[in-house]
Parts: sequence; structure tokens; C-alpha cells
Amino acid sequence: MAAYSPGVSWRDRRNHGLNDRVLLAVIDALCPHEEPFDFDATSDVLGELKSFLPFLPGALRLGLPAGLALLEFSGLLLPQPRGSGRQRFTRADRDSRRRTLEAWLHGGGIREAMVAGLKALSLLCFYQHPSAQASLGIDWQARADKLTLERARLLAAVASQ
Amino acid sequence: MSTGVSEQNLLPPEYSLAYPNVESGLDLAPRLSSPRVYHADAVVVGSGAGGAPVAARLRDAGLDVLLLEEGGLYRTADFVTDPLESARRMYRDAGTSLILGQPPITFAEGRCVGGSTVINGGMSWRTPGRVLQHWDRKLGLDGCDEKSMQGWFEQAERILTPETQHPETIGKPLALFADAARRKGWDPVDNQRNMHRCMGLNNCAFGCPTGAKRSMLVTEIPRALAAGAKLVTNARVDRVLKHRRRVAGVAGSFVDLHGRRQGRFEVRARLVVLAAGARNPPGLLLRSRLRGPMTGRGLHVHPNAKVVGLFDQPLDSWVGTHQAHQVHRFMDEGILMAAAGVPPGILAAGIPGLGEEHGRLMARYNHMLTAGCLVEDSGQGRVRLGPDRRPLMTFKLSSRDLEVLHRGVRLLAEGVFEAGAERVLLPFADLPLLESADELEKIDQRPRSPQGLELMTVHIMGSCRMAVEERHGPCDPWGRVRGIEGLAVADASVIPSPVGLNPMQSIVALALRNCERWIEGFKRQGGNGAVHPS
Ligand SMILES: Cc1cc2nc3c(=O)[nH]c(=O)nc-3n(C[C@H](O)[C@H](O)[C@H](O)COP(=O)(O)OP(=O)(O)OC[C@H]3O[C@@H](n4cnc5c(N)ncnc54)[C@H](O)[C@@H]3O)c2cc1C
Ligand code: SF4
Repeated sequence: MAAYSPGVSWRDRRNHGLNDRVLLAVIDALCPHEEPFDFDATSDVLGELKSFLPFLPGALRLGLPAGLALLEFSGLLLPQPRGSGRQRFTRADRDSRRRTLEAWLHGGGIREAMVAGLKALSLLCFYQHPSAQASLGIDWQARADKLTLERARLLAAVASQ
Repeated sequence: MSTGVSEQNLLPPEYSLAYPNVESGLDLAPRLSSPRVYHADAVVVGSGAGGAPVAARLRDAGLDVLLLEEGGLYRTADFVTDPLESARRMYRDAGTSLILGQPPITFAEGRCVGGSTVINGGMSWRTPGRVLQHWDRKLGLDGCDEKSMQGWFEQAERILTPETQHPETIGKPLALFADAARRKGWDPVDNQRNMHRCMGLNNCAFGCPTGAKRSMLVTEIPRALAAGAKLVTNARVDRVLKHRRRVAGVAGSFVDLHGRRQGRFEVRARLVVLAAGARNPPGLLLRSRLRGPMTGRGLHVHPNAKVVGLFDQPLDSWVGTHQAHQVHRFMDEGILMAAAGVPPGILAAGIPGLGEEHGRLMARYNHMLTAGCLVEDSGQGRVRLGPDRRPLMTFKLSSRDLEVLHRGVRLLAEGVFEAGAERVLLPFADLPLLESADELEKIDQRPRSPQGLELMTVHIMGSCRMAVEERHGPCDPWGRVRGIEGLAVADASVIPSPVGLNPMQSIVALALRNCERWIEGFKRQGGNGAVHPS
């Protein structure tokens, strides 16, 4: 299996710095890719996720690059979960990356907090993506428009009585 | 439906509310070479559940009022249904805040004009009698008994106008849970929500675009502004100014959406009211060297745990209001329960697994029923200054909290199975799923460990509590900060013990109660706009 699939081209990958490359690999591993979520949203999710980073509380914001670097090189430096070879995170296949993230997620401490935070943010961005919403049959904005008009009608009718 | 009313540009009345006397710190900042100085009788810091009614009441009493709000002004017409955009605009830390501890607790609060009332679920309950009795009899807080508070709750309800939900706005998951609770003899009660003809859109957490929710944005803020109060947005107070033992005003920064400083301001005022949400006043006091032995201590967090039932039949889980009923039956044990509509992106973080495993569960989003329990906690929480000099919250669950949380999760799971779920997802990393009701005992058998427990909260309180003696709280029984004249607190920080249910109405009622004392004090001292230099 390719390190990233589907969707993020080599050009994209070359153009991203280390943080972005690790984030892309994380997002790719955290998000589903099979039906009904068989669309490519990885780059969009990265864009949304990055828009949250300046809002993170100070310590998290400052600590994130170090945490991502540790994740990238942990395969070379730290004992790995069963079935994961000794390699950089971004070079590992999707299953190995998932195993590493699972291990961090249940490992306690700062590593757990970081992966839990990345999971929450990545999946928030993924499942709010228009394609994911469409897959789930959700159109919140259309319902908002409809109900706003309905409420306006109801109140106008009451007022005119 | 034909109403005989022209449909062209037909919008709910909240769309045409006027907001006079508002200036944005961001518009001012580029033109400033030195701090902008304001003068007022009273400055209110924060425009949420506590701040907005206080600003309006002070103005009613004839004071010259300046309301400062760190966030921006987003009107009803500005609300969108995209949680990402809404979180960046209207939530502190864009909704990524944490209360540190084992386990860390995810926390959210508003940062916009109207504060958390703009993004809250609208549940609007009086403080339970049992809790008021505790404040009155055990804590000795005069005027906090049920009878004395009655009038303040009535005033709060004139602002909040709580209603119950119209039946057609209640989605299937909520109705199923309420039926199950009835069958189990739990007597679910209809929710009281501060709204006027809620349409059941469930966008409450991102601003109500139908205008139904009676948040401070559409009630006390426009009322205060129309009466002549002034509001400055994007204005973050950093310090309280004092002169000897008297407050002299506040100093702060104009900030952009990311909290970056764009300019400075100072306000000279004789009455300073901190109404900045329970996380922030302790930080302001500590940064201003107004430290008492209990400043920041006694934080309570109402930890919430949730379960998710997976149903065979489709439930259209995204349709219908956010919450329609609550189970109050176990409140004496410290447990409040309710089913709630949660958007997929928000729910996703708490669904176990990664990648395809996660996706297979989420594909069944419209077959899910989410229910949560709120625990009246007895653990120890604290707000202190972090390395960046911003308030940092910590909380340690007590062994009782852990016990009550497990009991709450067990009850929720029972209720969700009773509602017809095939399987139930739990908030435990080591026990993520029950395959059937026969497995409920696994919850009882789980070691009472905080490890791997997924918790969140949107209710914090008690970090600058009212108390008879200083060793129990930095504020006196009327919300005045001890040791300095003219400084008071009007937000969730003054709440003397956890209320055990949604706190907004308690905050409004206490703020209105205490505000009368501040007005008396201000007038007694010949308050007429005279300002002490800093
Ligand atoms: C998502 C969500 C759902 C909720 N649901 C319910 C519910 O259904 N029912 C209920 O009763 N409660 C609910 N709550 C809780 C309730 O809304 C809060 O407890 C209540 O609004 C707190 O009131 P407050 O005045 O203490 O703070 P807030 O209402 O949060 O207002 C504080 C304001 O002060 C501003 N501020 C902070 N620091 C500064 C500073 N230094 N300078 C200037 N301004 C500052 C903030 O930006 C904010 O706007 C919910 C909260 C959230 C977040
Ligand atoms: S359910 Fe919808 S209409 Fe009702 S208060 Fe919430 S957002 Fe507004």
C-alpha cells in the first residue's frame, strides 16, 4: 500500500513542510476511505485543521511541532507496536500508521493527549466536510433556511392576528 | 401555508434588532498611538449570562455603563451551520480548551457578544431547592434560601422566557429515550429552554439562525444598548487597576480573532464587575495581584459522560432539537441524564476506532441515539496562571465522582437499550462497546479508574465563590471581592457549590440579586461618574 492513498500527490507532499507532511499522514490514517466515505478529503481536512492551530491554547500550540517530530521519528527511536517496522511515520503504510496512533492514543500522558486532540480535530473536519455530510444525507444549511422562513411565517401570522 | 403576509424578505424579528453604541476594538486599534481611555461609572467585563443582565440593570439604575467583550459581535443573520466556522469565530480557543487532569476533560465556552449563552443548549432551570438549602443553611449565605431567591428567578425568567418544546420539533432519538425513561419509571421532565418558538434545527451550539433562542445577544444586550450603555467588542481586559484599597478601572488590549494584541485601552470606573466566565476572573485577579487564599480554588466542572446507542432502524439523528427532556430522578445521587442531538463531526471524536473501523460506525450516524449524564462533582478543581500568564484549569475527580460517573453510564446504557438499541458504545477506552443488555454488568465490574474515561463539560463554576468567610471564598455573600472596594464578580465563578444541573439561570439570578447591592453601595458613596485616577 502506498504511504498515502488515495489522493495526495507527490507534488503536494514535496511542497509541504515536515509538520504538514506528518499531519497529512495522520489525517490519512485517522479518516476512513471506504464507502460511504470513499472520497478524497485529506488536503481539505489539512487546510481546515491548520486553521484551528493558531487558536490552540499556548502550551498545545507550542508543543505540537515537537510532538509531531517525535511521532515522525518514533519508529526509529522507540519500541513499536507489533507489525510496525522501524521507519519514519510518513514512510509507513496506512495500517502501520494506524497501529502507531492507536498505541499513542491508549498510552497515557502527553502523547495520548496529542493524538486524542488530533483525532478530535481531524474527524471534526472530516465529518463536517460537504462530501461526508452528503454521504450521511445531511444538509443542515438547507434545513436552517427552511426553518428560519417557517418561523418568520409563524410569528408574522401571529402578529397579524 | 398562506399567512397573508408578504413572503418577500420575510425574516424572524431577531434579524432586525438594533445594536447602537457599539464600537469594535479592531476598527479602533490601527488608529491608536497610545492607549485609548474610556470613562464610565461602571465597567462590566464580559457580556454573557452574568454580564449582560448586570449591564442592563446598572444602566436602568442610571449608571453610565461600559460593557467590554473580548469576542466579536455576531448577529442572528451572521450565524452559519458550519461548526468549524462557528467554533473559530465564537468559541474560546476555537473550542479546543482542556481542563488538565486524569483524565483531561474537554471544555468549551463562548467568546463573543452574548458569551456562552449564544452557543449554549438553552436549558433554563432554577437552582434546585436542595442546593439552595445547602447555600443557606450549611454555607450560611443569607438571602439564598428558596423563598428569598424566588423573586430573582422570576426576574431571570422574564429575560430568559423558558418554554417547553413543541412536539413536532422533537427528533426520533429524543422521543425514543423519553419513552424508554417513562417505561423505566424515571419520569422524564419536559425541558425548560430559553427560546421563543424553537423550530428544532439543533444549531444551538453554533448560534441559532432561526432567532428562537433567547440568548443575551437578542435580549439584555440590545436592551442595555438601547438604554444608552456602550459596548466595545474585541476588547480583552488584562488587569484590574486599583488605587490604594479601591478599584480604579481596568486595563486591556484590543485583540483579533486569534487573541493577538492590536492596541491597548484603559477604563476609569468606580465600579468594576467581572463577568468573564468561571475560567477568567481568577486569572484577572491573580494577574492584578488581588490574590486571596481561595482565589481560583473550588472550581467545579460537572463532568459529562455519554453513551451512543446503535439502532437497526433509521432515526434521522440529525433532525430535531438539541434536547427536549431530562431525567431528574437521580439528581439526589448527583446524576442528571438527557438524550441529545449531536452533529456528526462533534460526535466523531468519542466514537471508538480509527480509519475504516471508525468509518463503519459513523456510517450509521443516522441510526444513533446519544445520551449523556452530568455529574454533580465533589472533586477538586483550580484555576491558576499558566506559563503564558493565561488561566489554566485543573481538576481531579474524587473517588465519589468516579463511582457516580459509572452509575450514570450504567443508567444511560440501560435507558438506551430499553429504547431499542442493538449495541451501546461507552465512554471507556477499555470497555468501548456492549453487545447487548446482558453485558451491562461489565460497567459495574469495571475498576473505578479515571484512565481511559472520556469526559467533557460546558459548565464550570465556583472559582471565585461567594462565602461568609475569606477562607472559603474570595467574594463576600454579595459577590464583592474582599479587600478592595468597588470590585465585584457576576459570572459562574461566584456559585458557591455545584448546582447539579444546567447553570445559566442560577448565574443570571445571582447576578441580578447581587447587582442590587452594588447599586446601593455606588449610590451611597455619591456615585455620579466621579473617577479615581489610577
Ligand atoms: C456549548 C455549551 C452549551 C451549554 N448549554 C447550556 C444549557 O443548555 N443550559 C445552561 O444553563 N447552561 C449551558 N451552558 C453553560 C452556560 O452557557 C454558562 O454556564 C454560562 O453562559 C456562563 O455564564 P458566564 O457569565 O459565567 O460566562 P459566559 O456566558 O461564558 O460569558 C463570559 C464572557 O466574557 C468574555 N470574557 C472572558 N474573559 C474576558 C476578558 N478578559 N475581557 C473581556 N471579556 C472577557 C467571554 O468572551 C464571554 O463572552 C452551555 C455552555 C456551552 C459552552
Ligand atoms: S433547536 Fe434550532 S431553532 Fe431551536 S434554539 Fe436550537 S438552533 Fe434555535
